[in-house]
Amino acid sequence: MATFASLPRGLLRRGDTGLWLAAGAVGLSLLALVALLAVLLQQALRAFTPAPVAELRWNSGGAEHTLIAAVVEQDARALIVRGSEWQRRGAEYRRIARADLIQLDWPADALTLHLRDGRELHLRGDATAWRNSPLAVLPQAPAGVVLSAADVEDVVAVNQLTTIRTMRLVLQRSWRFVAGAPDTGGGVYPALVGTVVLVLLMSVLVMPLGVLLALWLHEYAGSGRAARVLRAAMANLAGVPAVIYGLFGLVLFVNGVGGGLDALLHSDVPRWGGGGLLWSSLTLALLTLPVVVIATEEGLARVPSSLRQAALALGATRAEMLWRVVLPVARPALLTALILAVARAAGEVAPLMLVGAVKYAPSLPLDGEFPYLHVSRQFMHLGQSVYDLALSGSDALRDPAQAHAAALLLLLIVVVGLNAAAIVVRNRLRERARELAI
Amino acid sequence: MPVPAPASSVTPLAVRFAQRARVRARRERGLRVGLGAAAALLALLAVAMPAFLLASARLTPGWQDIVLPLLAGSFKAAVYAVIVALPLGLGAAIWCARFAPPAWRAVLKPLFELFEAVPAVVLGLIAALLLAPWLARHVFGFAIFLVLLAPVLALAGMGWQRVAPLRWQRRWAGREVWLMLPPLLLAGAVALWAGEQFAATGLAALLQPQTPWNGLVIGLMLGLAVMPTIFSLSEDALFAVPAELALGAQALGATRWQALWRLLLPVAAPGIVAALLLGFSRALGETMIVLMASGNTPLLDASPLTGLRSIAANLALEAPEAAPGSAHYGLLLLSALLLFGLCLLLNALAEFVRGRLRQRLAGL
Repeated sequence: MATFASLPRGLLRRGDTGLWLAAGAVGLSLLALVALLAVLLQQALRAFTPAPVAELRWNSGGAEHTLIAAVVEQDARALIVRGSEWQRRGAEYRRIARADLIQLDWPADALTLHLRDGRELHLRGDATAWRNSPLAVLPQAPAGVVLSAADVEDVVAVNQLTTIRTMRLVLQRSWRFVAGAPDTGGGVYPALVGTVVLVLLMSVLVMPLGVLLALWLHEYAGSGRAARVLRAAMANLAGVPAVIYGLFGLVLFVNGVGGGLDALLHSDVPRWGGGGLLWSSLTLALLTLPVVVIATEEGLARVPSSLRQAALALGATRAEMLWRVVLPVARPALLTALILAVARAAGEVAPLMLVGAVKYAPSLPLDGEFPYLHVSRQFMHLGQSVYDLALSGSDALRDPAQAHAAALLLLLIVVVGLNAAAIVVRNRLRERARELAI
Repeated sequence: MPVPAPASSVTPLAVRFAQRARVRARRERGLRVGLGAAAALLALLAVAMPAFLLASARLTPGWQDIVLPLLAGSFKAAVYAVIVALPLGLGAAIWCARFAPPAWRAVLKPLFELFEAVPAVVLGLIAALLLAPWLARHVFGFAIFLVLLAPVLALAGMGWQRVAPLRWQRRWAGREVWLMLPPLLLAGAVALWAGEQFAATGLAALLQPQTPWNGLVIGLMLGLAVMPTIFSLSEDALFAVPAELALGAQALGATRWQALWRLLLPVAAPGIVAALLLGFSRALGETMIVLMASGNTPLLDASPLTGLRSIAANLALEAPEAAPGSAHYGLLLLSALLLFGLCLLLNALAEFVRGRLRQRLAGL
């Protein structure tokens, strides 16, 4: 073995090159994280900020065209504008080359009318006059298009917005995004409801089983062969990719049990044989079972044995000792396990794509008609909404922007809400264990 | 002194105790049975998954032409991801375990754990809509950045150690990360500028990707997703090595880096290998990032500038439409079985290697 004295002298020996590279690795990772978050925030804000409206004249095919439109993107060579959407949302995008442009004005009295179904109209006029007087038919509308005051949700003088008014608008539109449905101009409320109901049902299924398993592994199994085999099985199940769980759910629950149920009930419409809330909850319960068991076992291990032995010495049976002494002390660990399972379920999309989450579900899984919770219905999920809005939306520019907003919401819920809470709870658990051990 | 009760009379408390004894014994037995049932259910589950896949998978003739490009795609994505994740994760683990002050470690570990919890669909969204178009325009600049990275960091660090006054060096002793940020940003800016200047040369044309959604984008984003896994396991392994080893080496005249490179890393090597295996397994199974940003073209091509289609993404795309019992369904389940088997093998290997680490550390 070469001794330190025999190494070549000079630059490379005296410096700590590797230290700087390692610090650089940390710096690069942190920069990447910050860049991801910043880019997501910027794109999400773009989804809610109104675009400025211009009056354009350009040459095309030998003829001159005029249009009042919102300029959504521009670079050195061309502009992408969105005209008034009289017929359908997302149908009025145009690309105009700067070389063809004759005139480009930003009139101060330009207005954007936001309609209730998500469409936008651009015209010139007085904002207060539009807000106060009801309108019957717009003079610029193509023949056959009728609008009433009830259709218009908001009138914005886009070229005269102050910073404060822009911020208020952004907040207003973000709230409408969170609380609205997709067919009113973009909203994730059904996806949020679907995610919450899914996660609740999954918790009801996974927590009892997970806690029982952790109790068995920790208290009863000891270190015998059965325990070692089951621990290995648990560790292996934790490493299986999520999409395999989805496939398993599809094969066993949807096609197997669901198809069987449909055949048994003689229903021609596949009610249980297509994806649904129940099958998705079961699949996710299987997926998060290792997480729950490992987190609960960690908590059970921190209960000092003096407490257990004291309970047994006072005459408790093992069941009573576990139920009345150990589990209450391990409550923070159970809470951590629940939070981690919920965080995983809220963020996984791949298994749900196979067993029940859809791009558009006509009704919520939880509503006012009996039996209130419809476990055979397909549902919408926030992660699935991100995927669908990004890659298969109907509006080429606004839907991806909404995908970023939905992704930011998902990130906030899963990372900031749930995982940070789990870390806080776990730290409190460690302190409590330290207190108990004294 | 308590008066002993006469042998023939029974106190109310004893009566109640005797009555409740039956209920309590029944509850105890019930719990035992319940726990055994839960354990049996878990065993059933652990066996049921591969059994179901095995039962319905079909080895139809010509399966190689369909399944092998998918397998190659999965491997391509995972290899590029690990190439990105290993330097970042291992470097961060080394700094965090050996050179970082405890305050930094207490912040960095939970931060990377939180990053591991970011849903993959968010990362896939950014990769597909933002990173892919940007990278397609700036591949040459990115390549220059990769070439410049290590030399610039090393030169900056060595320059600092030789030129900066000792007082400053002492003050920034635990905060090298802040010192490395300016050289990183400078190298990035210079590389991008150089990329724009030389965009018309032949070399830049060689590096132009055929499609914006290619192995490079996948490697970067998937590598970023897998990096926290490699980081946390390597960091645990390095931290678990007793400090006396490094202190002994430093007492004999080694610098901190020499002690790490020649002593600690070889000792903790099993843990790092386990981290690598688990990171590779995670990258093999990752679906959403590959689904959204890979182009989903089943090519048998190792170049980072072309697309790929992985088994997991293929499952997510085709499984909802496959009719149960058809040949297509059987092939899908065959590919799923391959993926399952690979991940199982890698996880078992990682567990075995980690057992070796535990043995080695116990002997120290």
